[in-house]
Amino acid sequence: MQFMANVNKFIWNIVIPVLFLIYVLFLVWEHNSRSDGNRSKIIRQHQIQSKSYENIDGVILGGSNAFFGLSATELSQLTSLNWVNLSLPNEGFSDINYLNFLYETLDYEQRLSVKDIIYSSITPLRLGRISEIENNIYDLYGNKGISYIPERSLAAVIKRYFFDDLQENMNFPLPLSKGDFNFSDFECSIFQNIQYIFERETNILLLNSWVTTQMLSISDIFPNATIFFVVPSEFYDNLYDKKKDDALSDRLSNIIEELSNKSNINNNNFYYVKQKQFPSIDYLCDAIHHSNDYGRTWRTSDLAKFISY
Amino acid sequence: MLRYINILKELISSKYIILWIAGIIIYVLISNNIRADLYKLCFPPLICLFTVYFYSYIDRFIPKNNFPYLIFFSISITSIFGLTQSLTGSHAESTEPILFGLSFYSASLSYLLVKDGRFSNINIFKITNPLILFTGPILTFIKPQTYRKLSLRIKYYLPFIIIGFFFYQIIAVPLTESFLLIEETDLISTIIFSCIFEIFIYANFCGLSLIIFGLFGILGFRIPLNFKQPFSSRNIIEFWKGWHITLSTVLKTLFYNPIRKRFSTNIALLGVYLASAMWHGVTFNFLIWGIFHALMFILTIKLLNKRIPYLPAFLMIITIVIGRLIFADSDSDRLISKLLFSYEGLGAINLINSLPVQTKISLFLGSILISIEFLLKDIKLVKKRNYKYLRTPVSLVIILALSILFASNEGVVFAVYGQR
Repeated sequence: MQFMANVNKFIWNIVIPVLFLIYVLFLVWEHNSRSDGNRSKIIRQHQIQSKSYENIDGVILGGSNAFFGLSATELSQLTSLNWVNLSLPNEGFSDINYLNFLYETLDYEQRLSVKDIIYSSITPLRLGRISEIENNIYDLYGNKGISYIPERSLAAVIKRYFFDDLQENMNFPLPLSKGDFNFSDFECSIFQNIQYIFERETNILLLNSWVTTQMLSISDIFPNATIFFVVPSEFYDNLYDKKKDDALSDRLSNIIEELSNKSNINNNNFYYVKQKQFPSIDYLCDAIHHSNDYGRTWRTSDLAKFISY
Repeated sequence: MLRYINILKELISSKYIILWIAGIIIYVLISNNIRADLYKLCFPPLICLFTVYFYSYIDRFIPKNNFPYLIFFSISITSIFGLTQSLTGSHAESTEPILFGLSFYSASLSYLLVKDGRFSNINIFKITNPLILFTGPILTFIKPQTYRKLSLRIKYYLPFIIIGFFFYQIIAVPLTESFLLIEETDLISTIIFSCIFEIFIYANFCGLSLIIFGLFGILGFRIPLNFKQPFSSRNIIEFWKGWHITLSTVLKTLFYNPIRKRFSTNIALLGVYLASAMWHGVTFNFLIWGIFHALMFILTIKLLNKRIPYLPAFLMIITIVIGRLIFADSDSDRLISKLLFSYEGLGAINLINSLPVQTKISLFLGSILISIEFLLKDIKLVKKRNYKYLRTPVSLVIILALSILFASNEGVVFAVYGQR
């Protein structure tokens, strides 16, 4: 009995406080050792390159789907216009972050000259993503303040240490001169781990408000541009559900149509574009919405067909 | 004006001010959007004060006896008009910040009105505390603290916070990654999703309730345990005695007791479950859920009266799984497809395999906990149904070690009952 009392006392006075201390130390270490996947360098590169952009006709906007899957260089060749790619991984983690990035990257004159915008976002293709974005606490680089919950678990850190998990180590390469993804500095070798998902945002009110707000915000930044709202290509294997896909597509199309019918929005026109599914896994890099070099050419030329000149 | 100043003075000088301060501090600490959250918190006390004011004039319009029921079903009315969403347990933000917390403070208000026959300013202060707006009408049942010394209070209540954190953050949050399964309508997927969702709801809601229980205890207030190891039950009646106890008490006072005075037990039970169903949401799935649970409850009473062994326990498992299946899905067409129980192979296993590792670990830990509650319910530490088996020093070390090992940002952080 006395032995048990001593053990309990030892646990309460030594073991539990030590465990608390270990947790706090891990939180601090984890916060300081977090990698931003090269995001800050990518953003800086975009901002440096943007100073040299002259007579921009079109800008590609969006998240990693556009970063991996659309090429400003190829689009320039296909359309004989001058395109640049300002898409960012994770679309800047929040709409406000991303829109501020656009304001800071292109000056007023540059933005006025833009005639076409391609805005390609996977947000409507993920259930609950809009709420997630609205409640986001990350900055443009994916950093957040120290929290009582670590970003990665201690178990994941240990696993990475022993098994050198590739996904944990992923750093995006710096963009090429027109802002395109540089596939020669990135290995699309982890496609075996691709997780197939087929989701669609089902909250119509939320969807309506998000699409409208995004389009109007982009129209404020680029007041003379025709804005194409693009639903990007993905590959779903056998999870594809045509009924749900068509339902979302109809909704988005209606929202964009309503928006274009409003006459008093700057000088903008709004169009809805839905891209085809990737024909096979061979078009992918490391996720169902991330194409490889070959997939990017396929997606870019598919998109160019929608933009008539 | 003087009247309102006096009300304010009374509230500030009351001992419950510390709970409000604690509530606001915690909201600020965990909030992603401090301004919006603090803005939301202003409405519950204001709406309650308005209701109290309105109460003195109410008998001109409706009988005073009916007023508590109008307050209780205010959440159903807002649900009908689309101002609040059904409480299915999936993540759904309230679109109207003005109605934040309405489900719980309206339940508390109506309970106090039936019990005491009047409102008091202090009660309003208690029932609109930010911390209980997502954990239930708990402060309606607040009691004086028995442990006077802070060190003793910490020693007794800190384990509840540790266990609550483990339930909520380590088990519940990563399980949100499996919500995609709700789309599947075949038999195996439906049953698997229902079981995972049951673990999620329990770990989420019970975890938060345990954290609040521990926190209030350390601050010097004793509130009831909202959950008492519900899975340590032999039948569905015992199960409900351990699940969301504070709401059950409100429902018993508001519906069961008055209906029972006039009608049979079966009618009273049906009334209680239908009222509970409508409180959760005025939708097809909740209507079925209410009727289903009432029928299972009545059937269990009959089985127990006939002293039939094992069947009540089997019925409890079926009721929990099917009940959760109905509860979780407010999409009527999809729910009907699910209730056809069509077997379409073992495709769900691939979906489970594709879940993130952290989610699988949470599922494993949650299953272990529920198995302990159910299978070891007769051993001394589990029998008391107060999580004693998790509060022993050795258990706490294991729980803390697992928490340190697996705490991560994976999953969506939200309170299942804090959506509206």
